[in-house]
Formats: sequence, C-alpha cells, structure tokens
Amino acid sequence: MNNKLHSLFLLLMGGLLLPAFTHAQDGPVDTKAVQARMKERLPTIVALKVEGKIGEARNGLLAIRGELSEEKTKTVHLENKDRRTIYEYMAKKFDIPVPQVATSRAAKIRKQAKPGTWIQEKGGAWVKKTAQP
Amino acid sequence: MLVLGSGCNTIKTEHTVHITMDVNVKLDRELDDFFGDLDDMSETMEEDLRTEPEPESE
Repeated sequence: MNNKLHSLFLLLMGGLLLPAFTHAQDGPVDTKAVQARMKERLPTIVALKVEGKIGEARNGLLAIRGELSEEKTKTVHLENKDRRTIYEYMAKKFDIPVPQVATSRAAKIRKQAKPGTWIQEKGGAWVKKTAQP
Repeated sequence: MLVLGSGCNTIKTEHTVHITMDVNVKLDRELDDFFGDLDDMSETMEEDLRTEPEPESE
C-alpha cells in the first residue's frame, strides 16, 4: 500500500514539475540579444551573399550555394538558428503558424535584395536577382 | 431564411478577412521593427562591397 502511495506521489510530482521544466526550456526570447548577435555576424553574411556563396531561401532562411569553410558554415547555421528563434517568437505572439512569419519575411527579403543576390522564388526556383526595370 | 443565412456568412467572412489583414499588418510592422536596422546596415555594407574598386594588377 505504501509503495502504491509512493508511486502515486512520484507520478503527481512528475506531472507538476514536467511542465515547469518544459516552460523553462522555452523561456522568454531575448530579442535584443538575438539582434546584437545578428549585427555582429552581418559583415560575414553580407560578404558571402555578394560572393554568391549563400542565398536567401523562400523559407526566410539562408541557403548555402557554394563552397564554404567550416567556420563560415557555422556562421550561416547560427544565423539561421537566430532567424528561426525570431520567427517562432512572432508566430507565438500573433498566434499564427511559423511558416507564415517565415514566408512573410522571405517576401520582404526578395523585394529588398540587391541585383546579383541569389534568391529562391516562391515556386522554388533559384535565380540571381536582376535589376528592376 | 436562406437570405438571412447568406447574410450571416457574408458578415463572418468579412470579419475573418479583417482579422487576417490586421494580423498581417501587425506582423509586417513587427518584422520591420526587428529587422529594419539590420536591413539598413546590410544595404550599406552591400553597396560598399559591390562598388569597391578591383585591386590594380601590376
């Protein structure tokens, strides 16, 4: 009987504590810190875009289009991780799906991209942005 | 009854459109607030890089 009570107690405690830990993992997003990290790596990202080694994908993330060193690959992955964090944060804030935020940002990126930048069109095709007539 | 029913549908649809537009506008504003500075910096850096003179060959 004691064993049963003990198990029940553990089960209840687990049920109470698990959501707390799960929430702690989600945590509040420090958008200023994310922004600061993005600013810091911006020169590298811009240079890679100008060199045509990375492009802007239709999911609002960067895609590798050429040979990259291990260090630069890591920078691109970190940039995408931060972008995802922001998309997830905004999706949660407006109670909308993450892809809706990501595609909205991707559309803006495509519009702002300079001629010569690799961009992925809505349909999935990769093109180098041309000068607007 | 049928007329009344279609009227309700129209109101509901218009209401949904308004909410969706409102969220899209708010989302675009929020995206601009976060990425605005980064986009401006990026534009300046990119222009500088693209207009940099080619190194002179000897």
